[in-house]
Amino acid sequence: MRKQLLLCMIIGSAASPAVAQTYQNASQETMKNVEAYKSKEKLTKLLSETYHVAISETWPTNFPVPAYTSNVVSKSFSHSTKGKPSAGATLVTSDQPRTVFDFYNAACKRANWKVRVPSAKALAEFAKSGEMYMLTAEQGKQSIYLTCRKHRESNGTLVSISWTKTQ
Amino acid sequence: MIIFLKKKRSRGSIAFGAVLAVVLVIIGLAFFALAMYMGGQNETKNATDAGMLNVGKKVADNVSVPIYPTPNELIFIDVANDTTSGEDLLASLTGGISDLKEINMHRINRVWAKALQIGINAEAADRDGFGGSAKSNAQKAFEGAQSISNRLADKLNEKADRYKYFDELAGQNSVRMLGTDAKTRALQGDNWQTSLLERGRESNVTVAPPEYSMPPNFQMPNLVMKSSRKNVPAAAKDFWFLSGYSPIKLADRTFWQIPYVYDETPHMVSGTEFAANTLKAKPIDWEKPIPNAFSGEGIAVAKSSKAPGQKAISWVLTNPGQTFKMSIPHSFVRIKLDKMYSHWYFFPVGPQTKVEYGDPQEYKYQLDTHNGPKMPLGGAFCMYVQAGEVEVGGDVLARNLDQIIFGLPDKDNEKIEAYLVNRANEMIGKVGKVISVDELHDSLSDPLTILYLLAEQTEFYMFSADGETIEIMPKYLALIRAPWLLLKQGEEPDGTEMKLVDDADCPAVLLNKVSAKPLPKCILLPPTPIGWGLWDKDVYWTPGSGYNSCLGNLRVKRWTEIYSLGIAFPSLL
Repeated sequence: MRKQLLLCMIIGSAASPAVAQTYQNASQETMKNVEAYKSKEKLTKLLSETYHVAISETWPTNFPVPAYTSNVVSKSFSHSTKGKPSAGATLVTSDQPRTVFDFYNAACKRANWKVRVPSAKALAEFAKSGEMYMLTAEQGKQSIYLTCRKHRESNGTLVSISWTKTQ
Repeated sequence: MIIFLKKKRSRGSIAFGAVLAVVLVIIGLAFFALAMYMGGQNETKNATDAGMLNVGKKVADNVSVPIYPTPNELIFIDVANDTTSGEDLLASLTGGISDLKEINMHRINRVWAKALQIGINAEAADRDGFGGSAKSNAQKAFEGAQSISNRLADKLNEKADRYKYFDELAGQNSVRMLGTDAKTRALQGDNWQTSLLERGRESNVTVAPPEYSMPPNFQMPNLVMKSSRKNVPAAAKDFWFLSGYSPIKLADRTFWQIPYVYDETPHMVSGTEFAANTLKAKPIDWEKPIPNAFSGEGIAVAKSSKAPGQKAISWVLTNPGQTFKMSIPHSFVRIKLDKMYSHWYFFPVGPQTKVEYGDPQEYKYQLDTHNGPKMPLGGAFCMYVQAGEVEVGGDVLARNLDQIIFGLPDKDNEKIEAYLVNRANEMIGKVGKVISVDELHDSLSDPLTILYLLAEQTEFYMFSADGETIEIMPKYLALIRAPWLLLKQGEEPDGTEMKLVDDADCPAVLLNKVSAKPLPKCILLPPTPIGWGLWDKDVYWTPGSGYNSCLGNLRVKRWTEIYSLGIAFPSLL
């Protein structure tokens, strides 16, 4: 409460009248929330506790499949913080879907995953030829579901990997 | 003089010899008559035994009653036959009016068992608090079974059929010792009785082990027994049977079975045992019990003889020698998949409070790009926050039905498995066959289901067409595979819906490139703007007793929540 009073005093004295008005119009709840989650750590904690998810822009080193490194445009990673262990990773690269898929297919096989790849005929049911590839892989209690799909915006590939582990 | 004496002695010897011969002939004839009498008695007894054995066999096979075309009795059409699948297309399509649908001593235990299974399902749903009208339907099923059973009991107590079956075989047995034209026939009268033997021994209905035959959280102790035979045949060592002439109490109803010891055939029993187990000598609570033992009296007479004829009494224990499994062959579980939507959430007053903004957008069983809405003042101190183009459907793309039901996000899968496995086993009529959890998953994992989903088929039927395996198909294919479904496809469960899985969620694999514009003199607070998603799932179960063939509905609701968080902060602070 003392903090909020101080905040109002600062806003009132230092900001331009319009901005000050806007800030004053903001509810005390908003101010409180913003203040409470000003740090990245606190925000991360909130997401973890409320939405059971942790988000990052990098893939963890212990993620069971390697991150593709060529012509990467963006990456994201999220994992569960409660319940069954699961994680999802996305990656956008300007490389073409077939190239990226071959990379992951080989990587999974190298790591002794039991890989299953649908036939071209089956894939054709889901997307135009050459625009999407997918595989499922299992190793012990872990399973992976991976798609490499044409990404319109980058004219490259969007990789989506879903990982889960049965307890 | 000497000559005279010799002649006199000779005459005496002749007379003595003649008398002796006559005596010997008489004795011989007497022995002959006695032997004939004794042999005739034996032949009569043998002929009577043969006649009664025929009675024991024929009453089980041939004495039957029709199913009346009333709602409570028509539900037993699927067990009014000797197949495991309940298959009888003609009779099914004619709604049971066909005279092919007869209930005899083979099938009556099957009828009672089906009524019991419906009662168990209704009671379990009621105890869970989701019974709906199931208990009322269970009562109707009980009344239907009782009505059929009473009619069969009445029919079996009529003696005319038994006289006929007796004469069929007894008359063919030789009783030549009583005369070349002598024959044995039924001696109608009070010696034709019925009795209830083998009390407490197994019936001809087996039950799957409790973990498969009972709905989750429901138990019926002492419901089943192992075979009571001293040397149980290897094939039956793992079988569990319902018990005969033992009251099976469920709720306020009592169900009954007739004991038929496993793998036995009709055979003669002693009169003492028979007499000790008549309903009069040893009553049971069953108002109209169906007897399994019969006595009968035969008489052998020769047409040419005026003699009263030989009589014999025999006692036979019947056994149809056919085993069934407690099941509801013509039953199904409906699996319904709700439409799927993406929902968009923003945080206009900070990260603690989410607000849904924009219309939910439907997606199908393939990848789809949804344009996220732009929410004015959608973040703290933000002019707006806009969700990016998001690719949705990753949770269902190329997934089979098993993965749609049990796959990510998964929670409480064992609850779903328990209900589905139980119901699958209730459909199976083959003795000794059990559908395991793995088999259930195998059926649901049929790769064809991926294509069905892609073709937007979202209503499936789980059923057994052969009584041995379960199949899961979209409705239009199921109707072809199991024509009896034509009459049942519209039936809904008689219980009410319960939630088995409540908002299971997990991080969604999606790329949400959020943009946000802070208010003037404000700066965005890193790492915002950020976006993420959750895959969500609810699973509902509506129990069905099976009275109308529907054993339940499983409803799966999936959706995707897409979050866009932008937080700005007054730069002056």
